[in-house]
Amino acid sequence: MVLLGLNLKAQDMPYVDKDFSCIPQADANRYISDFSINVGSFGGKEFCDAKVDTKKLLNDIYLIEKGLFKTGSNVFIKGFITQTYYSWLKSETYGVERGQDIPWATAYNSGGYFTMQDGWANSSTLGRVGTFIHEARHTAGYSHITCLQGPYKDTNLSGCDRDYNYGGSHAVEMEYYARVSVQGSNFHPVYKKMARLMAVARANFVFNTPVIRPREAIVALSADRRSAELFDNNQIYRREVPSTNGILKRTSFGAILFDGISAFCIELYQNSGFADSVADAYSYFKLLFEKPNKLKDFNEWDRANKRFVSYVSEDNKIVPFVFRNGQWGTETQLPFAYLRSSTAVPGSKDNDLYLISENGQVFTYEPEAGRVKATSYNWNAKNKDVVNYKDQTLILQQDGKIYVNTDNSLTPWLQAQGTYDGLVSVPIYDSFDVVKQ
Amino acid sequence: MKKQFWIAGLILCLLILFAEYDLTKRIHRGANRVVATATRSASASTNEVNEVIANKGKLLPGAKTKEQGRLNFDNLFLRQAQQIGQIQNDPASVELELKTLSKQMLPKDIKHMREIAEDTKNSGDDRALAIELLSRNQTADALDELAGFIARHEKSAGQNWNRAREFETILRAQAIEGIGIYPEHATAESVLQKIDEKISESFLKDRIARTRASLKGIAPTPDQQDEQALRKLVE
Repeated sequence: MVLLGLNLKAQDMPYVDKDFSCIPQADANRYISDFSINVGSFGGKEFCDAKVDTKKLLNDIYLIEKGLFKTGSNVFIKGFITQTYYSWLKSETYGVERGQDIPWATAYNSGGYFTMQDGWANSSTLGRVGTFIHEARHTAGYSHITCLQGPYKDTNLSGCDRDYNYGGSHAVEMEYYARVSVQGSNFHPVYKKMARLMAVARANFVFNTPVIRPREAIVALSADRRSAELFDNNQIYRREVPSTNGILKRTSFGAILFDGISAFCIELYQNSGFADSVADAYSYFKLLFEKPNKLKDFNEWDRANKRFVSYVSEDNKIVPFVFRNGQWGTETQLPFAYLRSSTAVPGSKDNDLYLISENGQVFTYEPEAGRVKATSYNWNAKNKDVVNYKDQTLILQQDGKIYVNTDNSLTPWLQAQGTYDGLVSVPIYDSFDVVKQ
Repeated sequence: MKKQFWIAGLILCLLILFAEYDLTKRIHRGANRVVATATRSASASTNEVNEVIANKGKLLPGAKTKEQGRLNFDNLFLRQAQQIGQIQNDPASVELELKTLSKQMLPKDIKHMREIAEDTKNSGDDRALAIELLSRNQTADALDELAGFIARHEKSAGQNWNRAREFETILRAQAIEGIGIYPEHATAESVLQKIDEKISESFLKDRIARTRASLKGIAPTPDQQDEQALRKLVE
């Protein structure tokens, strides 16, 4: 019976096996030595228990060393670093310790000595690895600058790099994520998925010139309003247009004709062969269904990392939509006679909501503050529509022709051969623009 | 006489050992049968799932109650979460484990996954795995939880951006993709449209737009678009 009891016990399985993911001791000791890790500050020597920060760091280094990429080996980071991730990190790291002296930082690098903060410890494995790689790049002197776009724009931090080609900490970190996603061969599927999403998100968040960005195309309404031309990737496509009055406007899902009461879609991806006018139920213009009264204008636009929607009423009030509450917010009386809006103005590369008065003054609107601010720009009455497209400013003038504006001189935009009644830029959601410069 | 006594004793010992061995084998076989039955009585219904579980032998021998079954799921979840930060020599096998685990979830587990995802005190790996399992579960309950997880993000969105805020956005982007693989495309598209009305973050709205475009059949899936762009970056 004793024998029987022993046999039965041998069948038991571990459930939460703390030994499951131990770092081999030889590897762990090598990492501690190679990176001069202040083990005590991380909670002491711990090779198994993932709750201890030492184990987290050792695990991250193990992943960095043993991670493989389909190019054949864990070699260079294309264009920036020409060693393995492990040997490069080792050369850029003079010491690593755990602290919480700069609580708002995830980690910081002071002359090659890294201090990992609570934010690092609370991150996912991928976040911690990315942070380590990011900090290592600072050792060579790469630093950040003020953000001119994206969600860090309104913070007080110098949190961005100029662009991907600068090869700074953001680029090196992002390239790791990208390589894990498209070339990684021995990573967990969830690790790879997070890497892909981090790469694409950060591509927009942390470069003043985003490296992977939404694709844009141009839609021009023909002068007879019977069709539109879609200019996309040096191709021109003819598109059907609803037979309705209204001005051509950009939406989050493409383009519409807005007649002051309703918005009707212009299908960008294909022609249906039918002339039916389809009310826009895709973008925020569908909120129009809630506003039966005629409006002067209705817009949706992006600023930093947020989407805004607003309308201008017949009595010159501008009202924002508050997503958090799911309803319209506080109205602001416009201090001028409202004429129209535009997403771009000549002289500015920034897309925004520009409000234009009847005498040609240009204002911007801050929905969260309910503030309207005058700008130094003026609207030329000869301009019908203005858009920014691929680092150019295109102007549709009252003569129906589209021009490229360069330092206030106009040259014909050669892609457009006809005459037009409206011009907008539109987002295209079937791929990205990759701008490596 | 003495010799016969010893021979008889030896034969008796051998018989006892044989009986013990046979009994042990029978008990073990019986335990696995009970485990497999307990699994079949849960929501998992594919042969593939049962085979993986029986072969892996990771469940409690003799699990007979739903509570014991739930304990198994929790342990399997923890084990899988640990794996996220590990080198995987057979990622295809991990994919199968994830599918198996996701199909095994009971309604209580689905709710628990959402709770794990929403609690910012949980490890990032745990939260990402919770979203992943909800995505792969592909039931109406899981769809609801994913949608709620995304929509509630707006209420907590603040002005100050940092890496922690980025991660919250990434988790919501992951959840959006999870809705995008729901088998009933019209339902998924409708859910995404409703979510789109509740959030203002441009990056997430872009992800929703791409997912909706792919559900309509006019664009590749967002992950395909991402891969294409990232390949241009690194190759």
